Formats: sequence, structure tokens, C-alpha cells
Amino acid sequence: MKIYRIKFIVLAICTSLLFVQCADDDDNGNVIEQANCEDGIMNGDEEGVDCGGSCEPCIGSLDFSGTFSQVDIMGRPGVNTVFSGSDNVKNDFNNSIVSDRASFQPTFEATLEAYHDVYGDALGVTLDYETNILGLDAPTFTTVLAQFDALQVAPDATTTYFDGVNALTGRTLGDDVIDISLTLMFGGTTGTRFDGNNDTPQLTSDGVGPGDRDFTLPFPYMESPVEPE
Amino acid sequence: MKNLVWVIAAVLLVACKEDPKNIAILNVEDYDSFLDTSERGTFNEATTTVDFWSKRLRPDTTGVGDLAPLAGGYEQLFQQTGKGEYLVMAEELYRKGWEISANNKDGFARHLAHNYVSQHRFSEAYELLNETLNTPSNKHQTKLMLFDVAMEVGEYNKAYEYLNEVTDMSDYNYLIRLSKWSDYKGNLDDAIRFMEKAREIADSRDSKPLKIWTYSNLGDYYGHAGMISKSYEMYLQTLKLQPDNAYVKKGLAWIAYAADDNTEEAHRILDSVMVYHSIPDYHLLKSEIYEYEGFLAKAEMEQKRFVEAIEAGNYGTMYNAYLIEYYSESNPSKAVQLAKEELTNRKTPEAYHLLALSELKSNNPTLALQIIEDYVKGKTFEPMALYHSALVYKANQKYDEVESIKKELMEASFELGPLLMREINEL
Amino acid sequence: MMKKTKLFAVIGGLGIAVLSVFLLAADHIDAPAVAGTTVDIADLYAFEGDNPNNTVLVATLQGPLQPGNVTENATFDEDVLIEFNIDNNGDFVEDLVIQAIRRDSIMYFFGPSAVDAADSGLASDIYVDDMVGQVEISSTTETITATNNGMTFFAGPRRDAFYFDFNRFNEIVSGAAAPEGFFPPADASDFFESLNVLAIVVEVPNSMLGDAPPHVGGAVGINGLPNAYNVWVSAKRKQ
Repeated sequence: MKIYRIKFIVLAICTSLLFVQCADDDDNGNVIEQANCEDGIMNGDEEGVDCGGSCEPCIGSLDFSGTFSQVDIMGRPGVNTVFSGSDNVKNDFNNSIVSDRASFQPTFEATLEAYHDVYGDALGVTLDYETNILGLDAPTFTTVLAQFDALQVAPDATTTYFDGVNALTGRTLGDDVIDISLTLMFGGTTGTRFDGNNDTPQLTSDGVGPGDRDFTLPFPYMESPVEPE
Repeated sequence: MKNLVWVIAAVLLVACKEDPKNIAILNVEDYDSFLDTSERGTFNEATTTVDFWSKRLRPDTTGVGDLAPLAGGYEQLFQQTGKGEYLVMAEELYRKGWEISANNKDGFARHLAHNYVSQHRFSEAYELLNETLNTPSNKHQTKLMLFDVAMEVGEYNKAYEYLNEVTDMSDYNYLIRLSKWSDYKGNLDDAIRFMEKAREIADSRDSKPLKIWTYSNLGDYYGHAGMISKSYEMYLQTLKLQPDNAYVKKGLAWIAYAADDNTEEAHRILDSVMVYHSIPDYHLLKSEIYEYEGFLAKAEMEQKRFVEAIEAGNYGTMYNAYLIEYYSESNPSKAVQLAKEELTNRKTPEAYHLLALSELKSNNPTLALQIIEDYVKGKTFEPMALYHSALVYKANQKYDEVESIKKELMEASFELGPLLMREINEL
Repeated sequence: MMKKTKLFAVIGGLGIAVLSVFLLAADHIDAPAVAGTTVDIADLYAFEGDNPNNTVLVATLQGPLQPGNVTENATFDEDVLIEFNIDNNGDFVEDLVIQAIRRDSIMYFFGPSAVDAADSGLASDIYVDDMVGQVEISSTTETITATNNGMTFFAGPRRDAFYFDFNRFNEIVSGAAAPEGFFPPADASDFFESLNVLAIVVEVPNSMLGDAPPHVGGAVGINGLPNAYNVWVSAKRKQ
């Protein structure tokens, strides 16, 4: 922003000097005046006292105008990641509003079933989604994902995506949202349908946890950035 | 800070005078520090990126998430060093990603197509993008790229269709393409106007990569339009953001040679770049400058180095256009053969005028004339195409056409450079 | 020679410099319309603050960022407005928004602003009169926070909190890993472990968000869940 302003001013100066210089050929050595951002008076290109122009912007003069148009949106984790393999999701999901997503439900359901087919084919059996541990059948589950894609956040209860006791009341930094999502997709009624035991593929946990991340920090709660090795 | 503004204003004071004769555009003090070749920030970043993602990539390259960033690092390395093998390494990684990605095949396909374009494998890029458009794909992104590639292969009507399907005057990606289209239509004023609008967006977003791209391209456009001081200013602004930007340094060298008649400075700038950026192009430019200076042996030596550098590098067909021009003098039948190959890759007026040139030099002036009249005349405003057309017209005793082209080319004297202008004057 | 053909090659090159490095992006693999740009939302978190009367909203953007200069050079886009949307009556239309946008080295915050039904949806203006606070954007080495009007703010680079064996996931859904499935913990690897993101963090008193509606779970037969707001984050680009 600052650079932009400076350039703009420079161009303006340039134009006016150009006019003088090229049209008149006068000696215009007096054009340059001394001004700085700490002299307590509004001078130079300042828009207020010691602010604006090439100084720090004046608060009231910051430009927050314009209309902003949606290009990305996110509620629950992983929805776009998991269901992005289709034309309508690639082209329309991020340009739609949360309350108008009914048209995505059939795609989501088809994708969910397609993921099961991948394993059915590999195992030589027919596999379909099975009603999950929350009691949601495929149409209901994918309706929840497509049409209610928001985090539910409880102001007066423990907030967590799922902590073994509470569910769908928020999302903490440490929640294992991937394992929870996988369990809901592949866990069936018991939550353990494809958990790697009994010759089943492991589809309900990706095997990774938070590692050495620290989730006990005060505001802003997130760790400082990783430094290069 | 305010003082700085006045300093810049004072510097610009010179720049905003409209290039009076005998006043040099370049001011060594503006850019000398950027020629210090120990400043390799962008190269170092690219190296770090490649190191970082290489370590993560599994030996069997099946980690889909690591492929694109690593490939991006190699493409940066190519840009910073000019070594073609980095492009090929990036290509392999993108292709792997395209093969194994479950949900983002179209993203990898666009990257791969992009890479093909960098390698001048336009037909392959076009085919891949068309295929991708019919699979789950982000149509908007794919169409933006289809416009780019359709322009490359000479499918101008298709390109215009794609352009009209992505219209959005507030979108940087659209504006730079609208600018390109305007340039193709010979409307340089609009091309500049839209590129300036794109610059406003790059500035407003305060995006360094977009600024670098826009400033350097705008610098070129201003040069085409003969606004050399503005061009210079854009190049300087680019260097302030990216001191090791070899591309705009070449632009500075061109200004030294073509506008300031300061060949010594042009050589000095080029020498400083060639230390770290090894693309063949510099030899060609040096050859031209030497020829202009009358150092014919040196000119010939640089031309030889140019061809050797192309043959030694992994450049594929990237330098065909230059080679056709080069061989048209020394080995016209080879030039014809290369031009025909180029036409299988891109049926553009730019490829046809090279074929016409090659046929002309092969003592086929009638055939050359037919090519010009069928495929070049009225289809491009590119000065080199016009120049070659004029050569062909002259060989066919069509002096009216020669004169009218000559008049037009006089306006592009900066873009064409003094050596060529000398030859144009003798047409 | 300086020919116009240069523009062709460089448009080819644009993606190299700008777009290609982070193909893997938003939502940790988003639709590429926004992938690789400064608009990407990587994650949304919403949880109770250290003060139990507050809710913390976190949006992470532009991930994953390689440590070092890529993280240091990452900037919030001045043309991109980040909005936390809060539905407090259960219709999944935003009733309140908290907006954030960068100007220079400062992140400015607006809201929570009541949204008229007519103003909800895909397009937004900034609620300039509702400016509630600002915070200087943190660097990789210095963490800066600010508290204004009961709300606390942060904007800057952070370690990505998200963990996922993303590479294996791709093999699972493409079929390449069938029939084994995911790796056991000893062999699995967290793609995001040593990567960073840009984060915007806002801690807001629940009293500023109104009463929460009945939990949406009840609509699909999951009963007994506590009242809960519906919260999502959007990124909007200046037109």
C-alpha cells in the first residue's frame, strides 16, 4: 500500500514537473521542500498531521471500500478435500452459500460409495457404505456434509469435534478430525468396520497423531512457525 | 521516507522527459548495484525449496503432496539458471502427480501443460488441456490456460472463445490475457491499458510475484510502444523487487544498445548476467551488437556459441525460431526443414514467416511470396514478420509493398534495434 | 531481439513463479480455482478460550508454507477479506460476521456485525463503522497480539496444527493402497508436521455472539447435543 501510494505521488509529481520542465524550461529548483512525518504540522503530501501521503496512513483515510466476492469457504474440515474429485465441486462449491447446497448431496453420496467400491474391487466383494456410528445412513450423512457444512460451536459446553464423550461442539487445534471423519465414513455402525483388524483394510485411522505439537499455549494458542533445519 | 520520495522524483525528472535525442535513458547509478552477481536471492530460494521437498519425497516418488512443490522448485531453478534439464525434471514430477492424484488430476494437468509451454511443446499442451476440460476439472482455470495455448498453436478463434468465457475485468488473470489478445490484434494501446489495470491489481494486492511479472511485461510493452523511459522505469522497479531478475537486465542491455547507442554498457550488463544465467539468448544478442559495432569476427564467434549452447543444453525445440533464422543464411535447406517441423507444433503467422524466409533463402522466392500472402499478410503485427515479408516482397519486385512495410517498421525502430534498422533502410 | 513472443512464454511462466509451488493447498487440497493463490483457506478451528466465557476463532490460510523464506515472505493479500460467519438462529445463513483485512503492516478487524438477510451471501462490503480492533502482523520471530473492545487479535505465521497422512490418503482414494488401507502408526507420516500457515486468530466473548440455537444434530436424529452456533469462514476477493 505504501509503495503504491509513493509511486502514485511520484507519478503526479513527475507529471507536474514534466509540464514545467518540458513546456517552460524554467528553473524550478525551488519545488523541493523539506517536510517530514514528525514535524507536527500537515505539510508535504500529508493528508493529516504527520500522516497519510508518504507517512503512515491516517486511520480515517484507510480505504476499505469496494465489494468483496466469495472465492473460498470452509466449515467442517476435509469436506472439500475428500469430495473434490467431481466437476461440480471443483467449479461450484466454493462459490455457493452454506444454505444452498442441496445439489451437492448426490455427488457426495456417489463419491462416498465410490470410495467403498475401490476396496470392494480390491477385495473382490461388493462393498457399500454402512450406517455410521452416529446412526446416519448414506443419504442423511451426505446431506449433513453437503447442506450443513458449518462447525457447530457450543458456547456453554465443552468444545470439541469429538473427544470420546462430547461430539460436534467445536473444533480444537488438537482434535484428530481426520480419524473422526474416516470413522464416520468407513467405520460402519460400530465405528470399527474397517479398522485393519480381521483382515479388513485400515480405513478408520490414518495412523498419525499431533506428534510434538503443543496445544497448551495461551493466546494465540498456536505454536510459532517451524524454523528451517 | 518523505525524502526518499523527492529523491525518486528527482530521478524520475529525467525519465519523464520524452527521450530527447542524445540524452541517455540509462543511468548507471540506478541499476549498477543490481549487477552485483553475488546477489542471488531468488536462486538461493529455489535451491532451498528443491532441497526441502526432495528430502520429503519418498524414493518411489509416490508422495503426491510433495510432487508439485518440488516441481515448482525445479521450474524456479530453470528460471534462475536457464538450464533446460530442470524443466524436464519438473515435467516428470508433474506427470507423476497427474498419474497418481486421486482428486486433483486437473491441477496437475494444468501444471504439466504449463511446463510443456515452457518447453515449446504446444501441441501436447493443447491436447492435454482439451482432454482435461472434459474430465472433472476447474473449467475456469483450464479455460484460462486453453486461451494461452490456443494462441500458441494459432487457434485464434478458439482462443477468443475461451477468453470470452472467463471475462472478469476485476480479475488479474483475465486482464493479462485480454492484454495479450489486444497485442495480437495489433492494438498496443489497449494492450498497455489492460496491463496497467493488471498492475493496479498486483499493487493493490501487494503481491510481489505478480508485481515482478507485471512490471517486467509492462516494461516490454512500453518498449514496443517506443516509450523507452517508461520501459526503463518498469525494469528498475522490477529489479528493486528482484535484484537477480535476468530477464529485465537483458531489457536494460537492449536499451543501452538500441536507444542509448552505448554498446559498451550493453556488453557490460550482459556479461554480468551471463555469469549466473546460462541461456543461449545472450550470445545471440552479443553477436548482434558486435556486428553493429563492426566486429565481425567476434559476432561470428558469438553466433557459433549461441548454436553450441542450444545443442549442449536440454532445450528440445525451444530455440527453433532462432535456429531457423540462423540457418536460413548458412544452411537454408535445414532451415526449411526446421520451419516445417515448427509448423507441426504451431501453425502461427510467426512460424509461417520463418518458413517463407527459409524458402526465400533457398532461392524459392515465388513459394516464399505465396506463403507470406496466404499465412502472414494481415495476420500479425510482429515487426520481424513484417521485415521478413518485406524481404520476400523485394525479391519478387513488389516494391510498393516493401515501401509500405518499411514505413511501418520505422515506428518500431527501438524494438528492432539499430542493426536491423540499417538493413531495413537499405530495403 | 525483443519480440512480442516473450509474453507468451512468460504467461507460461507465471504459474511457475506464482501458482505452481502450492498446488496442494486450501482445505489441504482445494478446488484449484483458488489453489495456489492467496485466497486459500486451509482450516477453521473454533473452541472455548482460556477464559471459558470466550470463543476462539482461527482461520489458517495459504498453507502449507515451507519453513524459512517462503514463510517469511508469505503475506496476507490486501484484496482478500476474511470473514468468520456466525449463524445464531439455525438457518445456516450468517447473522453475524467478524471481518479481517490487511492494510500495510496491520490487520484490521470489524464486527461482530449484524448481517441483514439482503446483505448475506456471496458478496460483502466491509462494515467500516464497526471497526473493532487492529493488530500489527507478526513476523516469524515476534508474536504480537492486541486486545480491543473485549476481543483479542492475532495475525501472522504459525506452525500448522493440522495433522494428516495426506500422501497415503491419496493412495487410499485412488485405489493405489487397496487393499491395505492406511499405514500403522509406525509407518504413517504426517504431511503437515514441519510446515507453516498464515493464521488469523480472534477471541470473542460469547456475549457478543447472541444466544446459540438448538444443535443441528437434532434435525438428523442426533439428540441431546448442546445448543451451538453454526460457524464457517469465507475468503472474498475485491471486485
